[in-house]
Amino acid sequence: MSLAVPAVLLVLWEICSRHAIVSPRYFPPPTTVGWVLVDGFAAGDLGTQSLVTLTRLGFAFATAAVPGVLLGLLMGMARPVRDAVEPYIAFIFPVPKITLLPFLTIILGVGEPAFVLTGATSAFFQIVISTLGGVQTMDPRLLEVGRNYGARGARLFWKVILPAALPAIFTGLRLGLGLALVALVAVEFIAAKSGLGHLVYRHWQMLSTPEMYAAFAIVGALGLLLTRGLRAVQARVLTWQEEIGRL
Amino acid sequence: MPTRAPKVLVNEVSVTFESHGRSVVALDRISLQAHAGEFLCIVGPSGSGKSTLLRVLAGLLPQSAGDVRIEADRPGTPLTAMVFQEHALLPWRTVRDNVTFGLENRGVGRAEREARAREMLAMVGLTRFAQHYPHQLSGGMKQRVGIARALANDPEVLLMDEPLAALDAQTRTIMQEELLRIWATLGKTVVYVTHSLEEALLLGDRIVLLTARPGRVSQVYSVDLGRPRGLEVRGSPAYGVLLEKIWSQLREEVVRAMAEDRGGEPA
Repeated sequence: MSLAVPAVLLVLWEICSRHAIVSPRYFPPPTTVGWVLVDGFAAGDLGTQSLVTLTRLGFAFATAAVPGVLLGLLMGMARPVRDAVEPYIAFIFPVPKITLLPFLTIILGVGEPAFVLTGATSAFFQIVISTLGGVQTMDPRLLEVGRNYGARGARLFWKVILPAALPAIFTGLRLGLGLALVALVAVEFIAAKSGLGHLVYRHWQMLSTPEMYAAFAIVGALGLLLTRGLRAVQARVLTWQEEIGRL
Repeated sequence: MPTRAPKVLVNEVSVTFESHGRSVVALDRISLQAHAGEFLCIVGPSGSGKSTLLRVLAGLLPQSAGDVRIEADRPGTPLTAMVFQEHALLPWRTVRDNVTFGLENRGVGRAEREARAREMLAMVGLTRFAQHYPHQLSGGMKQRVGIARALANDPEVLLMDEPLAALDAQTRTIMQEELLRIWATLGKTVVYVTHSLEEALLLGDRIVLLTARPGRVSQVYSVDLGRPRGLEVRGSPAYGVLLEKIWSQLREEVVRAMAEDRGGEPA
């Protein structure tokens, strides 16, 4: 079923577009988009642009993940830190991070650091919030087990708190990765002169819709592959988990 | 009856909580003793502070007043190991690694840890499940692991907090027999909290009855039903007499606790 429904929709779209039931100019047939993808990758341009976006995403994710997990753990374990930091997190979290781009470009100039940081902040807050949640919702009896069975201080952290929070940390990383991609494509759409977001923008300006859809398709596929990949890593690392929620 | 040397001494222990700006007395000047090798059961209505008392003994909760002493006659072994309600196993550890958790924290070498795990898993009948994760086990099996984990740590005193309460009736009965067998084999001092009088009568040497909140010692009963004891004890006249006697007292406390709940703040 998970493949049949999109297949049927694509075939319908193809038919409607070919017979001009919908405007082929705005809704080009999927096969045309498919050939654009094939040609684009063969010519190297689509591959290059995808790599640009992927590289930005890699830097953004790496910048966000380590400090995000650390801050989340610290907030979860130290009440004063949580009380001090939580209001700011709650304030900034719901703001679409693309709105930080103007501010970051004023400070850093229009360029990669500002682009990457916009993506990174997007992931960062999600990772902090998920990690914090993982620590806060852990079964308090496991802490008692740790203490009664002689795990104190750093041992309690490594042997009990961190493993207990790990599933939530993975969820945070996965959501964060997705959010970073969203923010980066938006950044590319608005400000960058390269990347998949920029491709969408450029082909939209020229009304070359097959190319626009092709770029869309790559962004979607990237998001899907990356989050599925992280899920596979999670399943590998956390073999003890009963089941890992889908999507 | 083994030696009468006191193992656990609880002297005038009180615990007071701060709750919504008011102080609530959970335990009020509790005094009791458990002798070496004794199976001491603590029974009382909900809210009588049974679990609180166990947490004070385990060093997980500081008492507000009074003192607790646990006589240590083997240096290097922990004072207590707790078997928790609903097992509280570490889900990311295999059965074997749950059992060796305490030993690992004390720096016991791998070979000795694994030998001890094998021994304890054999004792609770889970040898074949050493490499399983907790989520792959039934409730009764999980609690067996919880018991093996506590025994592997070889504590001076074994603390058990309603360990069988979450199990179905049949599994609970089997586990009670298992506990009797293990206790007879190892001769550990056990402090066992339960809300089931029948369970206390089946397992215990003595029963300490706590009052409704604040928890005080209401009565201490000797369970002179002989050893080894099995389920058939429930058919003996002495059992019936003792059950009746303790129940009439416990009943009063339960009714009082219920009245207090109704009269107090709505939950």
